[in-house]
Amino acid sequence: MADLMENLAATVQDAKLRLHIERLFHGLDKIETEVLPVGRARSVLKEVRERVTEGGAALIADRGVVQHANETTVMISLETFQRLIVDIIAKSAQSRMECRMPVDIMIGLNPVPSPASSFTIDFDAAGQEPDRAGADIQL
Amino acid sequence: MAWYLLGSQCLIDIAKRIDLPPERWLAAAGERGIDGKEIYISAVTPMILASAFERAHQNAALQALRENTEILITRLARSGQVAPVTMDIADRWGKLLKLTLEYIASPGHTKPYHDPERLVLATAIEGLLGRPFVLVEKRQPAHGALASLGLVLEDPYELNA
Repeated sequence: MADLMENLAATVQDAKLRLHIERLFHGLDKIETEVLPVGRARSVLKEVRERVTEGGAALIADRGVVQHANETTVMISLETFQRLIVDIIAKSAQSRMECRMPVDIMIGLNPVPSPASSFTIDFDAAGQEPDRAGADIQL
Repeated sequence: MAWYLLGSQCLIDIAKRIDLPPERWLAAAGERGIDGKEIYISAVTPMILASAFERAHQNAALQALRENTEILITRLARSGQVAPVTMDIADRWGKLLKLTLEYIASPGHTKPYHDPERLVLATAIEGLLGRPFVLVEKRQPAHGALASLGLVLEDPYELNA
C-alpha cells in the first residue's frame, strides 16, 4: 500500500478526505492477490459496497486492458484496484457534497386545515368513473 | 444506495404537513443518507391524485391539500424525479392487471386496486435503468402478494412505530 499512500497527496486534494482514505486503507496490506472478485471488492471496504457493480466491473481496465472479466468477476492488478478505490471514494465524497436534503422538498408548505387531514385516495377499481369517451356520439 | 418511489397516498400524506409518518420518514431520510434526488414519484401519480381530488367533496381544506400536493409534484418534476412509464413497466403492469391486488379501504374491508395504482406498483418493481425502487407506502395486502415479484416496501408507519 506504500505506493498508494505516496500518491494520495497528488490524487486527493482535500485533506480531510485524504485522511479518511488513509484510515480506510489502514491494515489492508493483507490484499496480496492479483485476482479480485467483485464480491470480495464489495466486502473489503464498506464505502465500496454497492458501488462496484457487475456491469461496472467490465469497465475496469489495467493499463487499458482488462486482464479477465466475466459476468461476476474481473481480474485486475492490485495497483488498478488501488486507483479504483481512490476514484470511488473521491467521487462519492463529491456526490455527498452535491446531495439535496429530502426534507427540502417540503419547504414553504403549510399544514392543511383539519377537514383534509384524513383525506385518502379511493383506489377501488369499481369506484372509478366509467369511461364515457364517445358516449355522446350518435350513430 | 436505493432509489425510493413515493406511493400516491404517501405523497398526499406528506402534503398534509400534519406530522404523519410519511412526513416524518421524509424529514428523517437525510439522516439515513438518502439523497433528496433519489426520491421519485410515478408519472401516473399526478393523474391519480387529480382524479381523486376531482371526485372528492370540494372545500377550502381540500383545496389547500391539492395546492400543497401540486407544489410537491412540480418540485419533483423540475428535478427530473418523475419516473416514466417504460416498456418494461408497461409489460409488468399488464401482468399485474390479472392479479388480485387489494388494499384496506376501511378496517376489516378490502377493495381491489384500480388500474392506475397498479401502474405505480409496476413502476416500483421494474424501477429505472434496471434499478428497482423501494416503494414508500403504508403496507397493504397487495404489497405482500407482490413481494415474490420483487416489490420492496418501506412502510413509514412501521418505521415510526
